Parts: sequence; structure tokens; C-alpha cells
Amino acid sequence: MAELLTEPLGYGFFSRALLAVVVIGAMCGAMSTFIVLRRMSYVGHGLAHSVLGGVAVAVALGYSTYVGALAATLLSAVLIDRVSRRRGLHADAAIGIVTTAFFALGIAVVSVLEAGRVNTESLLFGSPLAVTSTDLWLAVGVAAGLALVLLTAYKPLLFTTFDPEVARVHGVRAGAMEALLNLLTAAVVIASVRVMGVLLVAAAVVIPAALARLLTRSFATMLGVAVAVGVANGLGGLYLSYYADVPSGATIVLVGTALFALAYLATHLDRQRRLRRARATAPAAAAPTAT
Amino acid sequence: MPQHPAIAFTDVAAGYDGATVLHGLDWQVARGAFVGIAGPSGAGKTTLVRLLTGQAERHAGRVEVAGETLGPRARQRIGYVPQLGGIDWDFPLRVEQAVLLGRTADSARLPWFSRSERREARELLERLGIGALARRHIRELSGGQQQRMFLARAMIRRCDILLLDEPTSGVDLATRHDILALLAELNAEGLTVLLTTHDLNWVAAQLPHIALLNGTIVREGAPREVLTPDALLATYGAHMRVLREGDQVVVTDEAPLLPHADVAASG
Repeated sequence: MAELLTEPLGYGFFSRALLAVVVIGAMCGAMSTFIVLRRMSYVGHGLAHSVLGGVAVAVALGYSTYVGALAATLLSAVLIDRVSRRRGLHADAAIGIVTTAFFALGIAVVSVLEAGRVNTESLLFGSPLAVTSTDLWLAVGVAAGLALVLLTAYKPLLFTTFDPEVARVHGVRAGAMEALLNLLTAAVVIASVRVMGVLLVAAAVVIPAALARLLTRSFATMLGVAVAVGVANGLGGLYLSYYADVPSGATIVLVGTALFALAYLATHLDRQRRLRRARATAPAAAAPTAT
Repeated sequence: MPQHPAIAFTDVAAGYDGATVLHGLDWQVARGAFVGIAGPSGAGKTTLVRLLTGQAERHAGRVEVAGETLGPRARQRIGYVPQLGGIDWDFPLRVEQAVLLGRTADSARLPWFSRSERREARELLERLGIGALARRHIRELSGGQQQRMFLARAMIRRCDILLLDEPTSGVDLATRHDILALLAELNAEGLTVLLTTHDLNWVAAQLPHIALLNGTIVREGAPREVLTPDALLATYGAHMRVLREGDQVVVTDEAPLLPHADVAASG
């Protein structure tokens, strides 16, 4: 059993990918807490889609793919923020318009580029083989930035996530906090795309918090559980990817979904058990009488 | 040195996206007053609240809080209690944490609140009668207890004006009575209280001072002076009967809209 865990570590690419999934899992888990509670689950989905457009344009113009991804996600985040502030247009509509347009641009540009200039399969579904030292350092840098923001702005971020209207009245710069959360989401998505893939990174910024929310009613605990779940998904998914020879993005999402299903079932059974106990101990007068 | 009113509107026009909802608003709320704003749907009650909280556009005029032009600094004097309907009650938050969030802007940058801040939150919850619920999840509170929790969140920032948007909406009769009694108590301790309501009989008529609003202030004063058929017609555009018994004022429809049950049954 131990050999199953240690054998892949002999490969340099795997060790690098392992470090990457731990860091990426932790930051996706932390970010997912804010994304899920702000009901912005489609933001991760949308921002990841815009990465394709940015990468394709960057390759076409001869720039680094990260420059393209960064420009596309930042521009998307700003445009989503602007469009969703217009009364009558909600964030889901803004995400649908802005990020799909970037994805469409990516498809159009890739189709006219020479074959092989953009590894679309790796970009769409993720690949641990593709993780370079630069990718790893980028992930560490984004995770450190996120940790610093959480340490210094935890309370205003929490207040803005819970009740932005009152937070603003209470002197919190809620607009700046919302913009900060959007920018952090963009950074986390960019740093995660290499391992998770454009099409699957959305799940990594939703599943950990969705699972954590089933288990706790405290924000701090939810944040901690989501980070742990993100790391567990990453580790489990990476080993599964190695042994099953399946793209890492897919296996990480599948492990996360399986854990979510288990937590859902366990909490459902617990609720059923409590309901049965409440019915059994309810006063006789409250019980329905047969006629 | 003259004492400025708690809130002063001078020829204010306000609304959203360039559309004006409030216009020609010249109105003052005295320090220590307990005022209710009543009016029909679309009269601008929530817009007036949102103007004070910074969420509605001011198109013209001037708004001052304690003599200071309305802005982030002046807004520090205002404790805001929103409508309960817009809150995600499943949010993972305990009562004490929800109250402490009111101190965020003045608190240290650390992720946790200090011991003295937590003690202050506990004391406020005790004072408002829900101290025993501090560790409960916010979903487990009744409507009246949720209002008290948000009152505590507003008061923990040491405001001197309480602004409440429909605080009695959707609560039962006893809870409504409790909330008004609590607000009267806080008002007696020196807080200026300004609330909006659509309930003329159970809320507006019970307050010491009310203002009828329909785009602008139509009439204001004690309920006995303000709740008159002509003022109500000017505000609501409908004929209403006003019954008086002692100090009590009751507003009803001019005639029942639907036949009474016994009449219907006999027919």
C-alpha cells in the first residue's frame, strides 16, 4: 500500500505536481467558501473559460500564456463587475455574456493557429505532466497572497459576503472587498488551470465549500474544512490520475464529487435519524389520531 | 452653539439610474426623536433609507447628519437595521459573530475579535434580551429575535441614530409590540429612531411622531394630527375613514370591499 503512495514520487514531475495540487487544493478550497456563499459559483466556471481566449491570443501574438490568461481573466472580472452592477442585470447574465465571448474568441484563434501551438487537450482538461517550476512558484505566490489577504481582511470580507449593504453603511469598503474577491478568484483560477484544466477548474472552486457547508454552521470552520477538502481532492485525484492514466483535472473533480456525495448521504441519514427520534419522543397528543 | 437636527434634508431629489423617486424633500428629524415614515408602495420610503445608507443616488439638494454633510464619516452615526427578507439565514454564522461584524470597521486587522469586543457584544445581547442565544445559529432565532440581533449589530458601533427599514414587517402581533417597546426604551435612553412602515394602525399610530410620504413629505406630526382623511387621501390617493377613541386612532377602508361572511352565507 505504502509503495502505491511512494512509487510515483520517484518521478520529478509527480513530486512537482503533488506540491502543486496541495497548494492549489488549499487555495481553491479557501476561495470556494467565498464563491459559494456569495452565490457566484459560475464565476470560477466563467473566468476559467476566458483563460482559453487569453492563452490563444497570447500565443498568436508571441506573448507568455500567463500574460494572456492574466489579461483575459482580469478583463473578464472587471467586465463582470461592471455589467452586474447595472440594475436588472445579475452576475449570472454578466458571466454568461463576458466569459463565453472570451471562450469563443479562444476557439476562433486556436482554429486559425498552426496545429500544436496550443495544447488544447492539456489546457482544457489539465495535466500534471505539464506542471513546471514556474507553475509551482506561481501557485505558491497566489496562495501566499490569498493567505495574507485572509489574515488582514478576514472580518471585512466576511461582513461583505454576509451582508454587503449593511457592511457599506458600517464603514466597510464593501465595493473594494467585492473587487478584491473577484481578483483573487481570477488569480486562483489562473494558478490552477495547468493542473485542473479550463473546463474542470470550476468544480475545484465550488465542491470544497459545498461539502463543508453540509458539515458546519460556523464560517471559520467552513473555511478550514473547505481547505482540507480541497487538499484531499487534489491528493486523491493526482494519484488516481497517475494510476488510471486520466487527465488530473478529471480525477480531482471525480474524487471531490465522490466525497461530496458521501457527505450528502451521511448528513441526509443523520437528518432522517433525528427526525425518527423526534417523532418517537413527540407528545402523544401531537400525534395524528386514527378515525 | 446651536444643536443641529439629527438628520436634515434640504430640497433633496433622489432615486435610481437617473429616475427621481423623492423630490423637493425639505425635512428635519430632531435629535432624540422617534419618527415613523408611512406611505404607499413606491412612495420612496426605502429610497429615503437608501439615500441615508448611500445606496440611492442624490440628484439634488443637501443631506446632513448632526450638521455634517452625509458621507462615510457622518454615516458612522447611523446604525442601520435592514429588512429581514433580504438576508441569507442559512449563512454559517452564530448570533454573537453576526453582532460583532458591526464593529468590523473599528476593529483590529486580525481575523478575530478582541475579548473586550466579544464582552461588549454579549452585554448588548443581554440588554436586548437574547443573551442566552449568543452561540445559536442565526437561523434558529424567531423574527423578533433576529430583529434584536440586528439592533445589537447596529448599536455595537455606538451609533446615535437608529435607522430601521420596515422592522415590523412579517412578524406577529406580540413580536411587533415587543420591538416597538424596545425601540421606545432605546429612544428614551437618547437614541434617535427613524423607521419606515406600511402599517398605519399597528405601527404608525403607536409612535409619538409620524411623517406621511409620497415622493415628498405630505404631512408630519403626532398621529392624531396627521392621520386625517384629507392627509391620507393626499398620500395614498384613496378615501379612508379615521376612527378616534381617546388617544387611539384607527384607519379603515371607507366601506368594506367584500361582503361579510354572514351576509354571504345568507345569500
